[in-house]
Amino acid sequence: MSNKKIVDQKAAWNHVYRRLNKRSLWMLHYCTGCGAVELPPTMTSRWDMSRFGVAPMVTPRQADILLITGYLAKKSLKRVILTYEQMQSPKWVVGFGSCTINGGMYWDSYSTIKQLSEYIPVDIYIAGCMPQPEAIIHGFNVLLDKINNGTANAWKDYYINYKKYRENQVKVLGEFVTNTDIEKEARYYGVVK
Amino acid sequence: MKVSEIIYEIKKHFDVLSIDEKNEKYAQIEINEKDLRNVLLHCKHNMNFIHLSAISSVDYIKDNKFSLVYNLFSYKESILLGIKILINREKAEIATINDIYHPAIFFERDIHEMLGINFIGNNHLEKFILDEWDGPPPMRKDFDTLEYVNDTFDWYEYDPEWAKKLGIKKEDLAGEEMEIL
Repeated sequence: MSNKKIVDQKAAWNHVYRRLNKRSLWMLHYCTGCGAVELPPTMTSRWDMSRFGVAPMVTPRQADILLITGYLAKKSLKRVILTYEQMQSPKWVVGFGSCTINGGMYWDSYSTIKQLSEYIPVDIYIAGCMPQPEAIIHGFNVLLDKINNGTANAWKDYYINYKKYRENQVKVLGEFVTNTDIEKEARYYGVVK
Repeated sequence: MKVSEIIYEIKKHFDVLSIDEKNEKYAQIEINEKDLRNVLLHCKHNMNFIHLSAISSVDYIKDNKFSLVYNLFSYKESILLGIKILINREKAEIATINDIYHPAIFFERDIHEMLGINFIGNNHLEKFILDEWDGPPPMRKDFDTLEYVNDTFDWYEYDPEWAKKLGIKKEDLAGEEMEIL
């Protein structure tokens, strides 16, 4: 067997793996913001999110997608970071609503953080205040396409640029301890040698 | 007992500076700071106002005052009575009332955190909701939130050409959005 053939085989298996992966996604929704009210119709029979293989999950360790619905205060940001680090890779973050993009209607509030992607890597944003179920489903379809293409790699960015993210987190929250050993995990997933 | 009778009863014993009868179930009276404890005790023991629903506070920066409104409720009469005092803003401190109404511990802790009023005798004035906060009390009017936000956080720059860069066609957009192209 030639070396080239092995490489092709690996790529083909990766393709199959991604195709299967995108059809079975468990979503952990972090509902601190008002946008969460759009999720029940998205999940239930009216728009039926499970058509696309996306279903709700209750614990971070079993979830693939972290959905941040709406604004994050400094206090809830810390909980989001702890939740995100508990999730197993590959994992994807969806920023939902204009609050996660630029603070939304709480843009001049002292405790609301402005850009979510400064603190954890975000794969896609769903814009709107608040996004309707159609927009959410469209957003998930974009994410599924990205997973299928192998371009939804924001979770690798967290391992590679962990220093940058950690700096931003500490700047806002002060020193705090997370129980996840990021460097060890990065070696485990083969992101960093 | 009507609201007017209750106010009359208080007026017999204490100075009432102003009366604001909102409706037949709700009135607010303003009294002197030194009478506060006695008025509350009188309301609780002689007039059935056994429930403290809330303590609310407003920063009147122009008058250099904080207002404190103690909202008392009577289950017997279904009447809400607000007892208002004004305290000095520079030396913002007042004796606690948690020996009269026990839930005041939490209301006072909240006000202490948000407005920086010191309640003498309350031993539970540690952090309450703003765990991650080490700045000045944020609800004070002289705290400029916009300046703080600009110093602390970065913003996404708005790019007027965003739709072109994403390759969005004109026919995909509707209404006012068409003008961005």
